[in-house]
Amino acid sequence: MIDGIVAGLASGTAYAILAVCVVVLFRLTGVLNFAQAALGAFGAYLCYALAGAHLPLWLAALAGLAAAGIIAGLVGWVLARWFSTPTTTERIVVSVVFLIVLLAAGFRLFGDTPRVMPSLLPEGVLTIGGVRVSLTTVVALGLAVAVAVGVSLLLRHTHVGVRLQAMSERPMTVQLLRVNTRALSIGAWAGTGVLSALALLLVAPARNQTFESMSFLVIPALAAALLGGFSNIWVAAGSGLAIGAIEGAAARIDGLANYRGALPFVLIVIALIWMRRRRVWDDAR
Amino acid sequence: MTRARAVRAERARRARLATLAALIALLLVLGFTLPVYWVFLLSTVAISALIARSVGLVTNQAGLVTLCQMSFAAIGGWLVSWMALHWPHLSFVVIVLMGGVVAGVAGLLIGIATVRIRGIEFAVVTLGFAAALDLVLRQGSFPGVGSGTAVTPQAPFDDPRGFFVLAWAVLLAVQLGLGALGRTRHGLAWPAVKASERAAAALGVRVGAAKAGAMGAGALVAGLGGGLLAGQYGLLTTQVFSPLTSMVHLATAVLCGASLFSGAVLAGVFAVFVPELLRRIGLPPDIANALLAIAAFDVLRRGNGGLAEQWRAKREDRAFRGIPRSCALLPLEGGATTRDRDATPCLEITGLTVAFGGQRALDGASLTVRQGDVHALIGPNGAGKTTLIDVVTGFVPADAGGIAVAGRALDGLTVQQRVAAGVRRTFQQPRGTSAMTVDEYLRLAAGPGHAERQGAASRAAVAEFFGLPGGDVPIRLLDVGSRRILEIAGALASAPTLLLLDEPAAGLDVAQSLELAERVRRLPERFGCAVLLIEHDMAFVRAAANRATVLDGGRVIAGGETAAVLDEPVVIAAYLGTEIA
Repeated sequence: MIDGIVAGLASGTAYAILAVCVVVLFRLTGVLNFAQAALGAFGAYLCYALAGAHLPLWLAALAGLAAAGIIAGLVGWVLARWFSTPTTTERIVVSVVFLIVLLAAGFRLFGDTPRVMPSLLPEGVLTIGGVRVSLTTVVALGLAVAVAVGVSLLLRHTHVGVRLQAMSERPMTVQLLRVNTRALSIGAWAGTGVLSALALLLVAPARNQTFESMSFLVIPALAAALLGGFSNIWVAAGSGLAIGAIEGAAARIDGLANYRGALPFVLIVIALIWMRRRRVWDDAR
Repeated sequence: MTRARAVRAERARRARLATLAALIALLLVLGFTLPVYWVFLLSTVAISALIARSVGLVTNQAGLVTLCQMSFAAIGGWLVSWMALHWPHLSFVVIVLMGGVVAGVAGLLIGIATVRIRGIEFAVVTLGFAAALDLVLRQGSFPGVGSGTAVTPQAPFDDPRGFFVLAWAVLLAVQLGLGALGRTRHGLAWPAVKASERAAAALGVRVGAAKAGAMGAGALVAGLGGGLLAGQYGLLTTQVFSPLTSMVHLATAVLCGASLFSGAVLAGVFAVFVPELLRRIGLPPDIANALLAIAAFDVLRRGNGGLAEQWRAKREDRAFRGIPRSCALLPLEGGATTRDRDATPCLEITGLTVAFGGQRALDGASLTVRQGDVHALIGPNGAGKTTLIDVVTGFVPADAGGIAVAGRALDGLTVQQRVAAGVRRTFQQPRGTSAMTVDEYLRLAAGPGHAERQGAASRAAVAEFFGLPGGDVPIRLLDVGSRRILEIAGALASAPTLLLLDEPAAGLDVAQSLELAERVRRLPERFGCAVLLIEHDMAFVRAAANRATVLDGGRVIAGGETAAVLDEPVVIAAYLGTEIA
């Protein structure tokens, strides 16, 4: 069971990082990024394609990260250009549109067969208290914690961050501050794009996924962000790890193993129904 | 009904019938002359249109962004496959209907469970449901797939042309059904809930039931589509129902404007013929998704609704050119009322206290509105006026104090029950339920309590009193001031006991404002309801209200006859203070 949980934590770190990215983007731009994992997957797949073309792995990885950042930045520019104050439908459909386009492009470029991914980090196993933990898991966990801490510090203690906090509570101010926020939101898109690619590069070797299935890793990440109400970074990151751990544990239980992907989601929807039980009315007055 | 409007209505009805007849004729010609391959594709158009219509119903009409309509289709398809495997003699039409009903029940249950989950959270929950169901289906696959036993509809539906007739008949029946539903209070509630849940509830709409009902109806339509798909393909694969396909259907429905039948059919045409066209010109058909998504982006960017919705808006703009679109508040005949005002208490508020956090919005406020009164509630911004209306109508709970209407205590009653007890309100910011016509709004607002004939009479009475534009005029063509007046008219059409007006004159010019004040003054006499009026325009208050209460910082600082209250020094100091000095 413990082994299962530790194995699940590796995926959990990816969910956590993606969830933090989703929350940050939602708080900044108001758009719920369904394409968060697809952006990362694009970078990861590009890295493997370049590595397959005999480029050194580190160079290929850098190229992949850069590509994810640039594409995400472009998306951010397009959104800031046309959707600075999105309606609820726009918040969702616009990013669904990006996901569909990215999936189509990914299918064209990378096909739909799973690849064996080379690991960025050397194969190493640590034994902590009798439990074997791969080096990648340790590094990915460190990265997830660093991302959560870094983003929280950024939001709480910098001028930019404080302004973002205010905007998340008063969406209308976004419009008044648009001049300053456009560059900011493009930067946030690019930054989260790079982070997503990094997260997926780290965990992909363990999972051998197609471009499409990798893109749909966004669903557990969205579930984690949902539990954090799309605003709490720590709850989102913690939930991401927990979802990975639950999946890992369920993988070792007969009868649950095949449905482990659905299990965390069921739990989160139940939690959400409970959390929202007093929200009798919508926000429209 | 005016003559011009009767002509318009007759013309519109004829145009609808002609379009329907032309469509059926075209379909029959195509279905029985084209090669079988094309007929097969046209059947797929009808099925895709069903899915698009279900997205249009849930997302465009009721405002719930759904990412799981293909999952409901999968439920329908699964049930049809299972029934065909175990009861092969049962009629295909019957099992398709059963598939729709089972999917509809699933949608209804999800709608009930998620009734307090909204907006992006709701979208993520639906995506999660789609992903979870996809995973479960991948484990087991569809019934009959393992043994290779395909679903085969009985004759005449085993023939592609027979199946074509069935698929389009289902689509047309669904559209007729949804059209009829859209004219009932339940269907009219959807656009109202989409605009604002509070405003809808204030009209007596059961918000939760409306949302769950929309999910159920949408799932039923999608389930019918999935069941037909099982008959068309014989064996179903999970790929057809993946979360991605639900997303593509959402984007296509947004692109085409699938809240309308024409939009749904267009979405079906795009979903089938864009990949087909790409294939024929030697391009990979899988980029069709990306093309449709980019087109959806463009439609969203422009913000004028989907293609079919834009076309309809243009048609309406043309049809209503030169027809009055604002309320004609002409001078009323007769002078000041001579009758004695009914002095029995209608609204009695005693010691009302409401605190938000540490801040007391209302602090032991008491006031009485008598049956024949137009009672103004005035005071500076933040004095607690709107909070008082929110508490009386049940949107905000009171921390202490009592409220009674016509002698009946309202404590513990829901918004619904208060509406049923005859308490009606308007809002400071009117929520444009712009997807309705004037008459549809009045019917929704009038409530279910009336016999159809009596309801029509009371609607006609308020329409005349406020000089409303024709009943068939879409609300989105009305100016802001007229929408506010329509909101008041709607509340009155329900024959309320107590009417609470929150700044009714905002957005009106001076002349209109005075005419409206004169009408508000006559409301108790004309419609038999007491009025509590919040208004900043003192000329309006003097003209409309016979009594007034002044709130400041949540406390009542003055009350009595309007003219006397407005001249009290304490009121001038609190309310007009610096402006006068």
